Amino acid sequence: MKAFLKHIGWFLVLVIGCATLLSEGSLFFLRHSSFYKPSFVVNALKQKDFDYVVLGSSIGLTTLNTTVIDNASGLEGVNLSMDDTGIGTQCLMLEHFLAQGKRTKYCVLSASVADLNTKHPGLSVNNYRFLPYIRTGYVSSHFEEFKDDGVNIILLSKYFSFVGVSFYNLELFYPSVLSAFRPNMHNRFDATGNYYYPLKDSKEHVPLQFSNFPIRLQNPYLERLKLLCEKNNITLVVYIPPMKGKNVVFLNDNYKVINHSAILDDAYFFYDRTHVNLAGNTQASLKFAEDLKLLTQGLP
Amino acid sequence: MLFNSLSFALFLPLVFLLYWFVFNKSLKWQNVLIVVASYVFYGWWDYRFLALIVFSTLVDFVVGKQLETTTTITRRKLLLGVSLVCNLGLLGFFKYYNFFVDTWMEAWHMFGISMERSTLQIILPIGISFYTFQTLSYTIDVYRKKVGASHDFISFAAYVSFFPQLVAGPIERANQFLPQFKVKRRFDTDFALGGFYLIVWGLFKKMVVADNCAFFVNQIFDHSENFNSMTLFLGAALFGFQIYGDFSGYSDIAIGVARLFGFRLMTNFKFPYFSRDIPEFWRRWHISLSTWFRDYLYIPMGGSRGTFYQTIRNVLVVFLVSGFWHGANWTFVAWGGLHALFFLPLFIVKKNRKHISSTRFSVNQIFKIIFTFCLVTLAWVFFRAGTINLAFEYLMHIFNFSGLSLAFFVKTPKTILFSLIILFSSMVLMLFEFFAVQKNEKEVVLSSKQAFFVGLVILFMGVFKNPETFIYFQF
Repeated sequence: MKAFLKHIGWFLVLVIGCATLLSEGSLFFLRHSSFYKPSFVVNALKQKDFDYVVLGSSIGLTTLNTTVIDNASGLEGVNLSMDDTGIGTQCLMLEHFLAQGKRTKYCVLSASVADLNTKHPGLSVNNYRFLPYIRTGYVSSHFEEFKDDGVNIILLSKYFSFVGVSFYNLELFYPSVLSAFRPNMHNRFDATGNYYYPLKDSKEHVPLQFSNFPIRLQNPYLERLKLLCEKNNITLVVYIPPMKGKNVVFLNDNYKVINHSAILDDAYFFYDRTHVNLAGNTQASLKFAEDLKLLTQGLP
Repeated sequence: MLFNSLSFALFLPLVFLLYWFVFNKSLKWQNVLIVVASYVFYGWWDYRFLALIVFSTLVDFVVGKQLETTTTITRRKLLLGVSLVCNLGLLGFFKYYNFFVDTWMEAWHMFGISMERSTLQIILPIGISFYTFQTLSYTIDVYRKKVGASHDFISFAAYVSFFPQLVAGPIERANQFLPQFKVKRRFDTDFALGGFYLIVWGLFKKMVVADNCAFFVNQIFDHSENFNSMTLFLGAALFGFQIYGDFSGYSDIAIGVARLFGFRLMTNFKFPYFSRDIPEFWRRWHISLSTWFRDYLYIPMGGSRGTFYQTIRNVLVVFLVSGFWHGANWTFVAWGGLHALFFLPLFIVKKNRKHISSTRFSVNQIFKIIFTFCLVTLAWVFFRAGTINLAFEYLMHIFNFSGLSLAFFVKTPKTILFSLIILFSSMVLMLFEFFAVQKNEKEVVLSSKQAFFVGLVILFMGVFKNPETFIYFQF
């Protein structure tokens, strides 16, 4: 029995030790790359001061194109949105952005309507993208607040990096190998963090009928984001993106809102039910640029 | 509780330590621990269905004891009937009730008579087909006087519910397995280490081979109309690897875990994809089930002792019943029937036992292996498809030769990555098995270094996020 336990012990130590080395290497290469947005902010974003940043999920990523907005408004912005993330992670993203010594005057939150409306936000799917920074205070304390089982994988990675890297091997280990050779490669976003869905083959114009869609801005992370913005002299703007046939109406008005839910009245501009395509992206960005410009000039 | 879950990773060492360090002085208490651990293991999924296992155990224990003391043939048959009705009744109700009701209604519908649907919302208790067959083998063997009745309820309960093989086999025989609960177990380091490495190998098959294959298999089978012939054929072949990795991986883990507790379980898979014909495939695939049907169905029906037509009938019945055992769907019956069609020609010309122990492969035999794999792959289409119609459509799409492009597998960085992982892991699997076949071993025996390599492969290629449940749990 003693020999067995000794053998198994050594086996596990060696496998875990080697896995830890590989995982640490993996996280190192990711930290020094621009593959995911958190390391893109650290390594690729040289500019310190911005007029605005866009936070959001895939909706923010694919609706607001900062290049179009900057060209139209003369402002300078960056898109920090990450697909499949909630407002909690977007709040963490702003914290991460500020921790790099960067500044912004406006923070545009372009989250999904469901996420804005929820009282009980859960853990985001793509949180693993912050794993290379899990030993940073604000990142680990962000995840410590969650009660979901899934967060344990991320939190354990603070001490045993192989736990997270193995669990998310497809999302972390292989991109890190790629990043070791091509550190400037981005995961589906351009030099200013934008991505758009292509135009579909069908280019038929189908007029949309709109129905009212009432929501309440009650996600608890909204309040936290607002406080973080206030602390750093940032104006928080909640942006409601164009929606296919839905006109969002608010049941509360405690945030500054740009509501563009009903500005695109043709199915031609949409990639799917919730996302715009390239044409919609351009239209939405131009319209947003107008409103943002007015906002920066102090106009309502 | 799944073998590839965190809860099992904590459960197993705990039971192991209690078994060898706390209860090692008493055989009885070790058996009690096995029963308790097995019930916890099963109840983790749904504790309500523990009652079925307990009921089955009680019925067969009592019937077994009664059979031993009864000499009247009529009474013995009656006792056996009680066991058969109870066990097969439960299996029939939970697994086949809705299927029979649906089939009955469809049959009347064909004559223009519509009946009110009276199917029930029945949850299939996992492993019911496995432990039912295991307890049945006990009662039948006691009836046949091949094995003595158990007088120790705890050891019998441990035999029925032994957690490593409770939910997906191997289906053990009373004469081989029950005596192991009655003798003191001594810890054998080499035996246990072999078990541990077999667990590692089983996890590799399940988490790396099977679960990565599932990524493509699910997409291809769910939208088969969108794919060309080559993609569909590869989808079926990948399902072949998925189900093999999934099921034989489970068996390897079960056998390995049993060894940690000093038990020897039967080999369930012996490198089936190295078979050179279909009869050989059936000597290598799910051995515990095929031998069960041989001993308790084929031979009692007369086996090959009757006329030519009776023998053919017996073979056909065994394959169809074996298919039906897998699930309450005509697709499984068709799968069994198709294998019977592949099996019978060699059986008729008495060449079904041509490849029994040869371990050297010539070029000719390699072609035979590939041909057999293709036949097995085509049959898997029925096993995986939701309905008979879908299976036929799938096969028709394969044979309309609509294209040879492999674009689907390299469409995005993600699919390229999955393709590479599957290619690599399948090669590792087949290479290890190839050397095991060459050495005439009955399982892959990993050295420490190989186990270390496989362990790392599991960590960096295995599917941890949203793992697929074991396919055979549904049977």
